[in-house]
Amino acid sequence: MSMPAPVSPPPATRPPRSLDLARSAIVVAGLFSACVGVVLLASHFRVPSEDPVKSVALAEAKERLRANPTDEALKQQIRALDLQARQTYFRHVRLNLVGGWLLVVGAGVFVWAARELRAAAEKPHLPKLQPDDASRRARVAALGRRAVAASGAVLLLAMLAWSPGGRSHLPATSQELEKLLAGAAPTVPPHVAAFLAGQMTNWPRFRGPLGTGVALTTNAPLSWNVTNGQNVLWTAPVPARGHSSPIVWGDRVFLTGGDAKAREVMCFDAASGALLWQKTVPPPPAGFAKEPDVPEDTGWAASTPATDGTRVFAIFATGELAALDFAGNVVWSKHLGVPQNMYGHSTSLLVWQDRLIVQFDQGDADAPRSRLYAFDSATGRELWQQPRPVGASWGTPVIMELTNRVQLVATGEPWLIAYDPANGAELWRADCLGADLAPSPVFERGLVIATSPGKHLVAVRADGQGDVTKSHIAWALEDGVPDITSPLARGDWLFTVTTAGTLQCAALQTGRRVWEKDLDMDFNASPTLVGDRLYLVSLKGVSIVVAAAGEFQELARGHLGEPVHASPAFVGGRVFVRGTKHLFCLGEKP
Amino acid sequence: MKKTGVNAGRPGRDERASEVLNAKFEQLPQDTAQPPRGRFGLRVPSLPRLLALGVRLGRLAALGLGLLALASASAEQRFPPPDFQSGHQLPVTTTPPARALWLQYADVAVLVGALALATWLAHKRRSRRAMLGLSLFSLLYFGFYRQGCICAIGAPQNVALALFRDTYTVPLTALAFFFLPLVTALFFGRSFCAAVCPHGAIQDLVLVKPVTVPRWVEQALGVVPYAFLGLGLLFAATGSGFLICRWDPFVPIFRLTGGLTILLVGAAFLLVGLFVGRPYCRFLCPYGALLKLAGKVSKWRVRITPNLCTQCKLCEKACPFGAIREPSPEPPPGSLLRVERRRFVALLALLPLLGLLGGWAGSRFAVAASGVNAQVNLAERHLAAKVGGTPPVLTKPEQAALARAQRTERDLLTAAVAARRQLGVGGWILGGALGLFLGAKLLGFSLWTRRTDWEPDAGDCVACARCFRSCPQELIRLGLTPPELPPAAAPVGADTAPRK
Repeated sequence: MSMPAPVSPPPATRPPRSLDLARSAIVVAGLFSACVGVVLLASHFRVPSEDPVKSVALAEAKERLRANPTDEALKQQIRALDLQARQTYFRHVRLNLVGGWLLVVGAGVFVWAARELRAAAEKPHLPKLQPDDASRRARVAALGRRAVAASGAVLLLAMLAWSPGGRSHLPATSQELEKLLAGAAPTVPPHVAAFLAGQMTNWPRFRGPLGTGVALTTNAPLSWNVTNGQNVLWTAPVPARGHSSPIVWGDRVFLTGGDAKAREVMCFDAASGALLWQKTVPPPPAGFAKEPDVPEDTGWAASTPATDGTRVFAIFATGELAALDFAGNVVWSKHLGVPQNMYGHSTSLLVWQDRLIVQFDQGDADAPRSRLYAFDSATGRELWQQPRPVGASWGTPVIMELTNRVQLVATGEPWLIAYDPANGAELWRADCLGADLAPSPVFERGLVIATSPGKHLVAVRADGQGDVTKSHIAWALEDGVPDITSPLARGDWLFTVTTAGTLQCAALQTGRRVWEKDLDMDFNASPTLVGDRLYLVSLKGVSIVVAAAGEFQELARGHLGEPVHASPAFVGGRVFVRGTKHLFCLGEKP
Repeated sequence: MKKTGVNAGRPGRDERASEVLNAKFEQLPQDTAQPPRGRFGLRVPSLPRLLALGVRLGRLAALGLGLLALASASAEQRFPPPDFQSGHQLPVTTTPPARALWLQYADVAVLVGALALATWLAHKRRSRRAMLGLSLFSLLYFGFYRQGCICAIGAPQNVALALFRDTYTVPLTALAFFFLPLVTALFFGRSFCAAVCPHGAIQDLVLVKPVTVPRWVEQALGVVPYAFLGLGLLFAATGSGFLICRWDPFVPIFRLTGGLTILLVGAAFLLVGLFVGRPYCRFLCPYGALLKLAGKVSKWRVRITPNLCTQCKLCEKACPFGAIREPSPEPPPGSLLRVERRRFVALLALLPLLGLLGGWAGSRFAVAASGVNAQVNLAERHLAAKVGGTPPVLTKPEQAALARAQRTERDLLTAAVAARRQLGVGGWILGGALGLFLGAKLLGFSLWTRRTDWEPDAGDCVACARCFRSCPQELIRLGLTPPELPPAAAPVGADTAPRK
């Protein structure tokens, strides 16, 4: 058998051109990729590519616009910021995209070249002679066992050591949660506690603590006469004009007034009538884009202020909103924008627990721009806002509680709407109102009574959900419908007085008219119930007290001697009435 | 599941790219006088041909970039317009339609085809070059074209969410992407990892100079994928989010967009992957953990040798992923067996304790990490603001969710407490399972498996076909080596004259 030819090693060869190419490619591609990577990183850190959706500056500007919706300069600023943010962002996106692809291609070439060089330089593996040693395998297994055990220990320690970075305030169990929600943990802030304690014994808002014209005091003089001083405790001149009603807390009486030059809050001593302070509300920082057009009849200060016992809150026809402490210092202020309101803004404020409720209706029902706001009373921070599908209105909302459900009820053409004051969520609505809604709603015995001037008085059951137009309207009364004054409901009766002076009594549950009386005088002030007596103050300043009963009975008259547009306040046996020029304090002299 | 609205309706560009690339592979010249081949027998073309190829690819890239620039314009529709107080009516805009359903089913069909092809390439054809080509296709299709979503790695989360939330219905495509690779692994091994998964493909392609990771390091880090899987399933099942997708390092690379941190993590994985084979697959991939378990019991397994193993040990370093196991034909000696037996019994007794310890730790961890859940996070912010007296800084839309969602405090806190309780229970299950798993792994070290040949571990082997050509039997099968080895060359100075 012939022997096979011996195998000889191949002759040495020069490195091929492709390897040179690979060497060049690896350097070029590596440098190229590094440069592209550096450019992309530099671009990332140099240009803060704000996502327009997450832009902080834009979000803050929009928050300011919500507070001042008619600020044209701010709108332009927002548009410019938005455009800039979008342009920057998309420029950055395009750069990243192009750079990313370049990096992918460069890295791909680099890896290909590296693999080629590696393949060319690789030597075949020559295994080492190693005895088949059971003890070696046991040592390898032991090492592996220890490594796995160590890994498990590290995992365990990591799980135990994980900390969320801060104490958790969330209750661990349902019981603790119930305790927290019941108020066992966080305490009510002092100013809220003070308000809750004192609201019923003071006159903190338009038409009293309930907002319905029902005074919780039963003691008030029946008649007075400024001419001879009968039951007139003091008279104080009011330095600033306005139609807002007085509010009272403790020994303070607050009024608002103003004109085109300045809007003011005034504080009087309830015992002596001395003017303690008179503070101008700060105007918007950027001023008004154009001079607000405020009708003379309504004036600049038609909205009644409100107080929580620590601060007094005031709003004006210019959309300026301010909170002042009882010393007259401005705590916070906002500008909601000049409202688009043909008769001038006159909706009054109200405080509920820790928040100030502002109904800011404007525009038309077809193109509504109305909003309902809740601001933290201490700081002015907006807690929530709700757009309202209504046009301009002038009534003031009321807060009522029915079967443990607190409702904030507001009127606005064409809807009567109830909201949850905690979060602004809409509870129910009824399509039952027309235009020119100046009277405020009231509630009694589960019914909300709303006035639609020129149309009807309507009673809606307040236990509904959603659109209750077809299911919860109890009755509608087309007689004796006032157009400015608000109704008064108590017990079995509903009382209304028209601007022309027709006083009407209707049955609350059925809406059937029981009696009416022409008082032969004009009224802008809403009626107030004190005990079983109904107090009415006419435009001429003549007051009439009638029995709040199923038949008309006049009890007394009083004379103030000057026109009265505002509704009186009844606190602690005294009556505070604002005339066009003076503030009167009426009561039995000691 | 995220939709790729930007690229919706543009299959032609990438189809053309795939066709061109595949055509280029077929057109690579069959030159005879060759420089040394690459490790896998790839021919290195001559310089003029290479330049021509480069020019053609450059034209294609320019076309692709141009189309991508156009695509970015449609992204402007994604952002909400500013509020117009002046009553300005914004013109009606159109939004890109959702991806057509048939295209989603086409993805499943491509997956099935790729799985079948990978299985055939690993078991029958045994071709590394073809497997490489399939990897490239998968990277381009499932990676850059489909932008990494839908992917099998995140699909377990969809299944977990569907199992525990009746408000969520898992899409059929997600189910298919979850089950098909698993079923394939049960029968044929990890064909999905071989050349179908884009994550594995990109790591496979960047591997340049494999470095052997010590076995004990592999074993220690091998626990991490199971922990990651458990964590991902826990948070998905409780509606806290898809952690596996959020922490995927390669999808931002496929999409060429993402947070800087995750992009750098992906780049780091690829840099490490230049030297360490498939670091994500081996030490982090949660779906790989499931495939490993399925592969361990697979019916048919990838073998290095096509027929018999001659114990030549030439394959011992052939696997860059440390999957090859040496033979162990004889059991350990009696003395070692007795020690292992005692250790086994002790560990078995400790197993319930490990489960309890793990469950306890898991529960504590899950509660501590519950801030990942959006409701818990919101509730914590709300309560912190109440206690601190300062309102939370509203820098992101989701942080104003309480006020905008009109949820009462009671609703939010009740939901948050319930979510955290669910996470606590899930943490017990997760931790307990991890504890038991660790115990089982430790028990496994005491067991002896009889192995006569050099073969890949059925669970660890990703069927990449790298090891085949290291086996002389394979070279014989391919005709690259004669059946008989040539005689060794005579030593220098020896008498080579034929003896009479």
